[in-house]
Amino acid sequence: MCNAAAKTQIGAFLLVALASAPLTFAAAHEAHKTTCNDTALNAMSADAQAMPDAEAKTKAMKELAMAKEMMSRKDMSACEEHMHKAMEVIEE
Amino acid sequence: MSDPASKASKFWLIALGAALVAAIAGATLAIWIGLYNVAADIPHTEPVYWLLETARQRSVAVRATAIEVPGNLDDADRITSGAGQYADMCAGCHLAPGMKRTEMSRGLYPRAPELRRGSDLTPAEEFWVVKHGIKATGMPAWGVTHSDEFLWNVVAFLRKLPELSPEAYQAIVESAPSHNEMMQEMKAHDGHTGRP
Repeated sequence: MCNAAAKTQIGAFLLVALASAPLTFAAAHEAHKTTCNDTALNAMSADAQAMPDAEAKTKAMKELAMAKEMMSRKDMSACEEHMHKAMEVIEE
Repeated sequence: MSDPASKASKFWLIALGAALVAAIAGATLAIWIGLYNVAADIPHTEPVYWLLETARQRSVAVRATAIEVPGNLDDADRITSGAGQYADMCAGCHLAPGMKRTEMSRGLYPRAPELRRGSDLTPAEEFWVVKHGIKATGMPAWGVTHSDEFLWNVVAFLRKLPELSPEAYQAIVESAPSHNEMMQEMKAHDGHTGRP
């Protein structure tokens, strides 16, 4: 009987943990949420411009160029995806 | 009768003069109509950015060669004093370990370098920048209001800063004298708020 109760508790805990995991990841990514518009892209371009010349800067500039391309094609989700990648490089 | 060579050189002189006048007129017109956007939320084009950065780096490097660096930049008291000054005077723009980007740091252009990531400047160059500032940026000339000794303490701390964790940074700042205390001490030594 004790075993069954313990198993139930563990099961309930695991269920709660699994259910909240997507929210946890979502919350973490919320901190990096970017909006695809000229102001945000210009701000990130300025950030990338100020990086020391290195692989990271090249990668950030490349992602931003892709973001601008996607914005011109009105593909906002793709634009934001590239901006998100650029931000991760800039802030690492 | 003028020879062909003389005529040719006269032609080229006139052509060069005309090109120069046209270039000056074109530049004047471009400036007058506000062709170049000076908004801080729109970055320079890459060639303009490269030109300005190179001019800045070379200007600082050339002028910093005459600066004699004190031999005790690793002195603990200097570093601690510099930490307090950095927290009060610099961190708002240049940030600090564990610090999120501020409104100032996000809006400045050119961006204030995040000094927690280190710097390519030599101590002499760092001192020159802190003392004289940089034109057309947000970097003030702290030498107008602060003594050289005060500023060397900041440089001493800048050399240490990239090594610090957020906790270590907080600890050293908390142990530092306040900016007001240091300014009072500086006034007592110099007899005025700073040297021009």
